[in-house]
Amino acid sequence: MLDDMMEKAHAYGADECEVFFQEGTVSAVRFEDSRLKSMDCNQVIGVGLRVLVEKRLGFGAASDLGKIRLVAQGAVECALHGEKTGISLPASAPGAGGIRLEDEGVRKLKPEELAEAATRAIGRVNQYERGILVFGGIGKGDIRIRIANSSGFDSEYRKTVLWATVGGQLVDGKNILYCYREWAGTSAPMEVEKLAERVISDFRVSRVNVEIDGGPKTVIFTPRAGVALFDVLKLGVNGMNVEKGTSPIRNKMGERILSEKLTLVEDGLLENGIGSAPFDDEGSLLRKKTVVDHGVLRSLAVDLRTAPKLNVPATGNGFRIDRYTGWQSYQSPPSPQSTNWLLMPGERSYEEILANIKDGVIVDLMMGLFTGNLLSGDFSANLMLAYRISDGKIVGRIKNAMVSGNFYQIFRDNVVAVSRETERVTEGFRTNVFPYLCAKGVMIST
Amino acid sequence: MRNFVRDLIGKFRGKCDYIEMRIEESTETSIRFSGKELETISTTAEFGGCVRCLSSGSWGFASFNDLHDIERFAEMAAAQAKLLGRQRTVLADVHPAEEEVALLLKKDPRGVPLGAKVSLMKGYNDLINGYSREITSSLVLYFDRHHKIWFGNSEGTNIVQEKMDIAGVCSAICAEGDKTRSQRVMFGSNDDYSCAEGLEEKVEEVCRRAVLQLRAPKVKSGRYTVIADPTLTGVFIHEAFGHLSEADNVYENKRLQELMTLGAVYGSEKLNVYDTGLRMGSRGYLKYDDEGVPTERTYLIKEGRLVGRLHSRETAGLMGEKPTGNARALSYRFPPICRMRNTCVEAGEVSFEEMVRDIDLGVYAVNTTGGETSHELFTFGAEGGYMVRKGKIAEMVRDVTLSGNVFTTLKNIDAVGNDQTLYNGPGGCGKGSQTPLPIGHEGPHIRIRDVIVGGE
Repeated sequence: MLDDMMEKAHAYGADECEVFFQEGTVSAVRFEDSRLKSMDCNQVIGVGLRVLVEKRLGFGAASDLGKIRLVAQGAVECALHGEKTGISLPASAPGAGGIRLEDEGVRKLKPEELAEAATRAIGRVNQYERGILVFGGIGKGDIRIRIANSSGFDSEYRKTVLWATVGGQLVDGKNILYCYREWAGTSAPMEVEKLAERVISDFRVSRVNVEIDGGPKTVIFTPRAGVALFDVLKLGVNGMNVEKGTSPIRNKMGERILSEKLTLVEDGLLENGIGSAPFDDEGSLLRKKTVVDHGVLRSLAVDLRTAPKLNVPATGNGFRIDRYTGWQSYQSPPSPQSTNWLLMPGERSYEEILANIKDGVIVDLMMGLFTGNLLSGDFSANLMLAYRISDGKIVGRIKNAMVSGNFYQIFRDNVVAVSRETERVTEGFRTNVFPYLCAKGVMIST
Repeated sequence: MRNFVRDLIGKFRGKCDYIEMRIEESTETSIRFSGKELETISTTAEFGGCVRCLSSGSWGFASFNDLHDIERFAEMAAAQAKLLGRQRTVLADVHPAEEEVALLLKKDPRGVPLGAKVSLMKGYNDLINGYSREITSSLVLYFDRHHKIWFGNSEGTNIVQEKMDIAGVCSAICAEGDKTRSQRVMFGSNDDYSCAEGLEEKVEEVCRRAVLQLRAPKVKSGRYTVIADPTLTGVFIHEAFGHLSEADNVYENKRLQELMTLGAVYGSEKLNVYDTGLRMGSRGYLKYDDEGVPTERTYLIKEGRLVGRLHSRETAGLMGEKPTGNARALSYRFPPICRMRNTCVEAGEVSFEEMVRDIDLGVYAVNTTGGETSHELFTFGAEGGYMVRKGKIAEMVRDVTLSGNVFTTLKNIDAVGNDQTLYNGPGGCGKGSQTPLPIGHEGPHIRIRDVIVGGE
């Protein structure tokens, strides 16, 4: 089928072409209001085609494999209007590189087992508090990716994926509280009970609302809050933003952009990472690399398209990511995307960091972060789940408050401590591993 | 295809309490300039379908790309529903519909050659990049999508619906040192390619604003009286109340039902809010929803009181209310859930000048960068704004993000403008993984007291 598509593209006038084929089945049980509401199964088949006509680039995609001819014709027509690029499609066809992305245990999971796991999660949370309406989903996927191009690259990999979200909503007077936890990986076991326990402990500390005065505070960003804020840096190191001159760290290679306490590693081969793969969605090999070394910028995320413009080799960051869901999709053309990010742990324990804060805030879940000017690092978000720290102890939840600041300023100048504990945080197609981050002078508005 | 749907449903009718099937064919053209470069130009063709079965109150859903597999997936959906089903099935009654819904287009984008669309967008992009030296980059996006959807269910509904969706954005991006600012003009329509044409003046205005934003200070954090412009009003009501009105939050949630009984006071007497599928020109226009229910204008708030909510057949059935045609799916890959269409704050009687006049210190927040909600708390971002000082519009400010609480903020709306603007942008509404669903907003200027503004 891939050969057929390339043949058709050539017949319509393409000089070079590349076919990305995605096939898979994804199934999930979904629960809401503390009962099992639906069981979904999705078959996904699709191809993305890139063609070059006199180095001009065009793109087409289809889930209808009967329309291969039309897609080829459409992509070539697009290329005729397209931009000249310096793309050179990779020739070598690497093997799976020894990383384990498949698990028979995931494949063998039956719908009944997903439903039983969901029932256990609901039962556990409701055992803590009957009034909580438990929601979430538990799912699994089995995906095959194959890439072939006219330079001779032809390789594929398969990946299994397992994920779970367990959350709850508690309405108490005019107080609506949501807590949830997520997990995803490529292999079993998935410990849904542990997620349920985390949700329960979130509820335990969130039941009491406390007031806080606005102003600059010492803030602990939980691992998931840290991952959300580090989206700013993902935009900053994105080769396209560097090339267009819109990234504020465009000229900062080798310079200190963050606190010396921060070292960030990108690991495209992370064990059990959902963003792990032997090669990216253009066929460039993935590897482990340092993005920020003790605060100093060391590498960017570059795809085949931006590589020649920045005069650097492609870094294995060309992924086809749906800009809304954050998932891999044949429908999207490749663009520079960071994969799994690991922010290195520090030396102090979370408890110790907490104990040293006299008057502060723990920021866990933020809303509306994307509405800020993230490219420049400026953010302003509603505190969906945050706690007040008083004399080293969590005293209750704060709400009707916002956190704001500039990412680069806070994480360059204001970092007080990095915890030695880390947590896995799933975000779109990536698995991140982050510590707790403590920064001073972060503006809280009430 | 209509017969194919009918026959397949006939075959599976006895295997569950209710079965429905959707087949969707769509094509999309997309053009994206970034900086001086045409970053993406693409055409895509989607074809797929889904089957959804209801058995003892639980659903089984299966989507597929290969139509040859349809019977296997239908069996699977029926079995999955049975596996989970533990209670009574209730669906609100709907008269079975049989209709072919054709497109009524003012200007059909399919009749415009690809080269002409590229030239139009290139024109805007060149305008931005040539505006001044402060403007260092741009983002110009255009897309049009044509969908044809066949729907049938075990109650005899059999519909074919064609839909058109056109939208885009032109953004000017300034960078100076480590400062980056952007401003944008958005467009969209369900029936008219012209929405993408003749935007030159607006694009120049966007460039002018972007340059000014480079010099604008951040707003000072605190609580202010805020005037939202019509674009922001739309996003505000979408986040502040639209999502909470989606009945799938409420129908099995007794405590929330107590808070959300019809007649409960949520806003000031000046506030009237509805959601409609019938607004031609809006990206949220919809004749039938994805359960084959005809859409309507559904009032949510009248004179400050809760009067309705956005239902699927299941939520309406279980709450004993009337279905409203709000069950929508992003595509054949998803089951329909309660969603908005075109959400509107009805115009009032106050002029903009009157609104500004009696503010001592406030913020006039303009345009939108989107919003988010967790039902009680919500947030919405403006692209920028102006301080209001002693009854006059004063200096420009940047990074205006606002937060509210559903139980207080709507009651703090003390003036509703006498103007009304329909807003369509290239984004859409997000819920669960079904993002971005095409929707529209409509509203006047509104004034809200005591809004939290994040900032320095």
